[in-house]
Amino acid sequence: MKSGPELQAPRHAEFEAIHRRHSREVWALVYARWLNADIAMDITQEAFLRLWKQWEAGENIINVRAWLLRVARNLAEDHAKSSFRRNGTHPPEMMNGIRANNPTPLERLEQEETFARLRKELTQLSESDREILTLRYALDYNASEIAEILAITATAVHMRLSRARQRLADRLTAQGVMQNP
Amino acid sequence: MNTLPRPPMNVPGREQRPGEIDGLLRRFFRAERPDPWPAAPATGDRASVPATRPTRPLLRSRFALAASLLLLLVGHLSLSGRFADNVPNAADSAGAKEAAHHDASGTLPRPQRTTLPPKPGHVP
Repeated sequence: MKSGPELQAPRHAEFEAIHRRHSREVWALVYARWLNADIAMDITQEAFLRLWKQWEAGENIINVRAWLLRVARNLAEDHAKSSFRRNGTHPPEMMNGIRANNPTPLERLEQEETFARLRKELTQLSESDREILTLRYALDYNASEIAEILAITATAVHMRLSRARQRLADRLTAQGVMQNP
Repeated sequence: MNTLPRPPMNVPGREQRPGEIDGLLRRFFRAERPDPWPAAPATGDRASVPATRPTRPLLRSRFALAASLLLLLVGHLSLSGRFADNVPNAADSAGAKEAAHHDASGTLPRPQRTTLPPKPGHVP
């Protein structure tokens, strides 16, 4: 493979364009698995680095998006195994890693408590529920965008979103995080 | 980014708190989302620029190792040379004496018997 700097430049531009196009989706996939933004970002960046290495090795990847998602999924699973060894029966999503948005200390406490309970309930949902919620609420994707990513219809997206929200609301109400209507 | 219009109520009467759960989820996931979104990871020649830096410390440490090995070798040689001037003479003379004795008797050299001086107050 050609590796001169002048020949690498277009590759870099292409690489950055692919990162802009797919990194959020890759992150959302891993985040839905782990509910940990930092781990998700580490794995996302690692997946992209592996893509670059594949290019350097002269590999021709036809469907970059599918390749990235598969690598990210595998990395997330590898992380699950190593994480299990490190943390025993307590995966990181059980740890309260809430990041603050500079509210007052009391508001922050309340928000952290609410978010911690929400995170706990999110871990009880299926991974597909978490994935659709992440795409919708973390990335602000609309139904047609989500439908394209998940290869389902927009109607199915609405249905799944609605059900996931309802399941979560029921759990949060049972926990006292949300009040009964 | 586009925003999803109000989700249809696919299961009428079931989703009773869409606004509340919607707001909560939005706040939670937005707090989770990395902001700003990081750039693509550094790769290839961009990554190789800092990679060239460690060569100087590496060369320096290798030079220090070579110099210390050289110093050790020179020290060893000079010290062994100094002792070689004294020790081999005595060893050579003892060896020559022993060899002469061996040649004369035709037998193996016997160990020399040494008699210790009597201790004071000792009665034989």
